[in-house]
Amino acid sequence: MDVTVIIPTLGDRPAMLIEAIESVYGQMVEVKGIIVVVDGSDEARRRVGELIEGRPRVEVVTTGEGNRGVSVARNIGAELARTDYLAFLDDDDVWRAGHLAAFCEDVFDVGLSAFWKQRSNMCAHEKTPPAVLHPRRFLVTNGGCRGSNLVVRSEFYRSIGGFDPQLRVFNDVDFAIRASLVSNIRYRRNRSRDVVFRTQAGRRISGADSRVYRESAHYFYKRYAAMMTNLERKRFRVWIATVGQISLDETK
Amino acid sequence: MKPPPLRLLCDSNPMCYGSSAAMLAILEHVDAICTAMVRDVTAELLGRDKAVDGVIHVDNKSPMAVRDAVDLAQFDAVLVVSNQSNVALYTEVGLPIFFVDVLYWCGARKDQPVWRLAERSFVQQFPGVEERVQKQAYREPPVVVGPLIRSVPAHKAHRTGTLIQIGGARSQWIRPGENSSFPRMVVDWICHNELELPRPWTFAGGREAAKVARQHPLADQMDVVSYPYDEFLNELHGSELYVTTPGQGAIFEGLRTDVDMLVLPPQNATQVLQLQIYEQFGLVSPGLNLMALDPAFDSSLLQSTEERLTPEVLQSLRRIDSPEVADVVGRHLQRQYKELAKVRSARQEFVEFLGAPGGSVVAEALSRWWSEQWM
Repeated sequence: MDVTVIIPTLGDRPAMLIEAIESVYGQMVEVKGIIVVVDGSDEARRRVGELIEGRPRVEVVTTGEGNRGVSVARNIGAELARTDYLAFLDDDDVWRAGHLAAFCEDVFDVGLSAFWKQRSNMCAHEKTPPAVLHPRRFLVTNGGCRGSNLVVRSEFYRSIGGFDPQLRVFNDVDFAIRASLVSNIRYRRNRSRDVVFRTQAGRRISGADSRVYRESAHYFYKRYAAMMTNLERKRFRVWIATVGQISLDETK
Repeated sequence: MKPPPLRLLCDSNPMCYGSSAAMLAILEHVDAICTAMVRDVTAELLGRDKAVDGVIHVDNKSPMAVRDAVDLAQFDAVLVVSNQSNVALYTEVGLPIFFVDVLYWCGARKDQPVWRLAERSFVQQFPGVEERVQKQAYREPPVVVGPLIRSVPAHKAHRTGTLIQIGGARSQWIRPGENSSFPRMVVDWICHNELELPRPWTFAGGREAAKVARQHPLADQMDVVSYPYDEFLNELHGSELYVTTPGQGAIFEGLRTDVDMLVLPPQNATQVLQLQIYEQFGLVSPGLNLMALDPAFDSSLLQSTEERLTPEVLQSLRRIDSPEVADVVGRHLQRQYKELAKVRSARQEFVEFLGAPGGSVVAEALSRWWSEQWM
């Protein structure tokens, strides 16, 4: 498949990164390349490079300064890719063998696979992307776009500006909303749960502390509040309070 | 994260009793605030059922009317049963669709947009359904579910009397009044022939049908009633004998209740086709379909569309509205009653083929989907 896999990483969990990369090699279709984007210093990039040395078709780059966020890391990888399609995979997630194959015999702009969250080898929860990509499905919950389950046509990705660097959090739902606002988008979903989110002790590559979380939530809300009904605004507050583990008062 | 209450819009085909009955069979398992769009038949069934929290009177065959009458932003999902009129509207406003086709085996096409736009789709089991699903090139094939009928209430200790039900004959191509003779014909078949069926007799139908039936001079031999769905099922479970038109849900309910059952001639195009299948499965002996009762019936139209078959069915019903045919039907019903034991094994096989009632399967998919959204 003419696809480049972009793996953002902080470089601080080598074992998980290796497993993520191995899950790419384990796909039923072969990818053109893997770009590991280290959101860290040159030193971090060197360590990751040594870690994966000898593995085929992998390139390691860095965001330059470090801690610029997952959106910046993904966008840097996307700029370097020369394939028709891009697929994203956070370093703490893995794909099951059928993820890319579900999309390989089709022409589309955005594809999303169903995913599940693994906790102690058990399925803690799962989510199937929507049948129809519509902004309403992402305004007050994440309707099913989590970065690692996203496959997107490169040209389309660039045409909507990639992930928003301002958003450390909500970047995935923001991307899905902007994509869904494009008329005549060719969207595909894969209902097979081929993407696995793993619970681990460290912070997620797309995670953030409560201050950054609140800032992102506020930025997201300002952008989309006009599209929400009153009930959706209330639900949005409940959503960010629950996911961000902050009080409802803090969402005001 | 605990999901908020699901606000579910309910959209069933206003032309079809079976569609609304199937809707209720699902809703009784759904944990949601359910608002049904109602018109005509749907108002009769859904408007007075405790599974429905509220109704909106609107012509839900008209997307423009729905757009004007319903604030779609107030709903989280829509459950659609055999009505594809508003699919484009729901898609446009981003309302997730759960689609159920109760007559999947029937109809010329099964490749409409709803099969790719629905979050989940379901089809009710019937002969020919699984083969048809396999032939279609769906990206996501629908789930085949068992009969969409309501849960069986506790059996009464003693079953008495005969319950005669004709539902309501409507379709997209039958205008009100076009088959208004049918309830009178049924009264005639049963009362005029003085059939030896368990008494008392209760005649159950939609409001229009009950009104017509009451006008028959012999209607005083039976109690003519238009029941809410729950009460109808209670009556069915308390009956010794059930006489029904060859609908789908009506037959499924009779089989599931395990009540002795006689089949009447058909009153619309789909019932003509269904009766053919019930005859093939041995649930009823041949002789009651329009091809048998009416020598002038154009059988070549059986392979045609419902739209083309319906006028022929309506004309045929007018042709068989005669004392001679009433005698034939009366004798057939009496023979069915005497030979009930002969169809027992066929009934059992058909029940096993249909599988367990499917309402809870659809409800579970809705519930699971809603929970997923909040994780």
